Amino acid sequence: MLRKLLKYDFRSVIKEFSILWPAALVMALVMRFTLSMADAEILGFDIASAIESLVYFGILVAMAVVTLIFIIQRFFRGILGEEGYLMNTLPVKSWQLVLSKLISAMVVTIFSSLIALLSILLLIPSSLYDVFGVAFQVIVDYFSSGRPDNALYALEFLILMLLSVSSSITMFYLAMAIGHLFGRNRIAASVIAYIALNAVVNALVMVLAVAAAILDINMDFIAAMTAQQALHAAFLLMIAGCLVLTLIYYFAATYIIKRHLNLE
Amino acid sequence: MSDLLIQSSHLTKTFGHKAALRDVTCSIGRGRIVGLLGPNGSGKTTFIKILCGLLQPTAGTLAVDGEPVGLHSKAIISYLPDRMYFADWMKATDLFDLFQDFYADFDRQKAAEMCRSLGVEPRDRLKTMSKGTKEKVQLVMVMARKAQLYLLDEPIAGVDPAARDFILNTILTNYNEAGTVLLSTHLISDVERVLDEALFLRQGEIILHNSVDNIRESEGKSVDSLFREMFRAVPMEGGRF
Repeated sequence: MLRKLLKYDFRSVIKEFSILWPAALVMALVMRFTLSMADAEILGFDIASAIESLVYFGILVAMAVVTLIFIIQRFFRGILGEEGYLMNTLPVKSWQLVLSKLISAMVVTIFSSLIALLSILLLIPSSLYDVFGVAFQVIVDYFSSGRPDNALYALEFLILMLLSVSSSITMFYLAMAIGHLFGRNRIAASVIAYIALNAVVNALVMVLAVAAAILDINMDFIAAMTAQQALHAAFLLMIAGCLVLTLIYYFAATYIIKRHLNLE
Repeated sequence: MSDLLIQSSHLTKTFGHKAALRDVTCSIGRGRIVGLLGPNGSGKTTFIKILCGLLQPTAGTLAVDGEPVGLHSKAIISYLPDRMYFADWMKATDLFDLFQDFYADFDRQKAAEMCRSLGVEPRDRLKTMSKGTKEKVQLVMVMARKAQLYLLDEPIAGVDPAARDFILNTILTNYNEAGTVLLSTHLISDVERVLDEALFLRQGEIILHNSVDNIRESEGKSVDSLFREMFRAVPMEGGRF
């Protein structure tokens, strides 16, 4: 059933982004061309580079905003809004509905980030061959440096990125699910729930840190670590944190939708 | 398979302090066309939404085909909501695909035929269709299933009298005769001829549940006249509102 749900969530992704993603790349190419003209003929170097940085920034912001709105709307309308009349009466389990939304949202985030990165590479005012050649060389050098830990760092970094994306998305889901518990002003309640969730997580991290200090836990083992061990430990700690948050947010949101759905 | 399709026991639903359903106890069998009748705000939609799992009851129990509302009940219920449930990006053919994937009892060929006879082009974007056409598409989706229980929430409320007959005939000629149709409306005279049973709701309470034949026999009047009598709004004395 999850596979079938994903089929329709990905159809909506394709309808939404099939124009936007290619358009972002085409726009980057057009900008690249016009900026190089301006650079050569009319404007001074500083103005041209200022415009370029503005454009880089603009593309990043636009992509992030569109992606964020899409992710929030697919959940808010698709499960808790009018489309919920269709989706919540399908013979599927609530956890499958939420998981399908989560997986498609993560794929959208990854693709949007890659497209944004690619747009920025396209905007760099050197020949494309040089830009991608250098990027490729950096990656090759990193993995062939002879330091075996490098591959492991890359893997840890990748997992951490994925889990931090999933914890951010599921946090939005839980905030909207909590907002749904209120009879009216559900949007305002969702926003407040989001702010409150953030505050609670920050407070918990503080409490843990303070507790460690008060209890005077022996930290000598950290000092005894090599730099590599310390970096791995930091990665693993952050991975564990994001994983725990993702699981809590996901199951709490699913529980609310299963037990307390009230489409009015 | 349970003998009774719907068994509701002391079902109650409150929104804040306001009770939308109070202590509703009733049972409905198979192969019946049941009118869920009552004025606006009497709890008809609330009852249907609880049956679909879109609302959770505050108290009481409910069984559909002998099981609590869940995967099984959702697989055998065909629900026509009182609003549009499409995503913006969908065409009717996307809905056909979706229903085919999720409902074993969906008959795609029948849906396509119904669209043809209703003059709907399934490859058009739903977003661009008129309100009436969208309603037709939803009716097609619901009636192209061979469901055990059809829950139709106000299927004729928003249309002119000629279209009402058309919609009722579409329902009558397409539903699964072994299944039950529960149809909510406040337009009794239009549906009375097709009903087997009538269930009157007032302020969230069942005040009458009987077969239409029994009502006519014992009361000596049509369901419509009985309804008008029971729900007559009493104007305030003095003529000023």
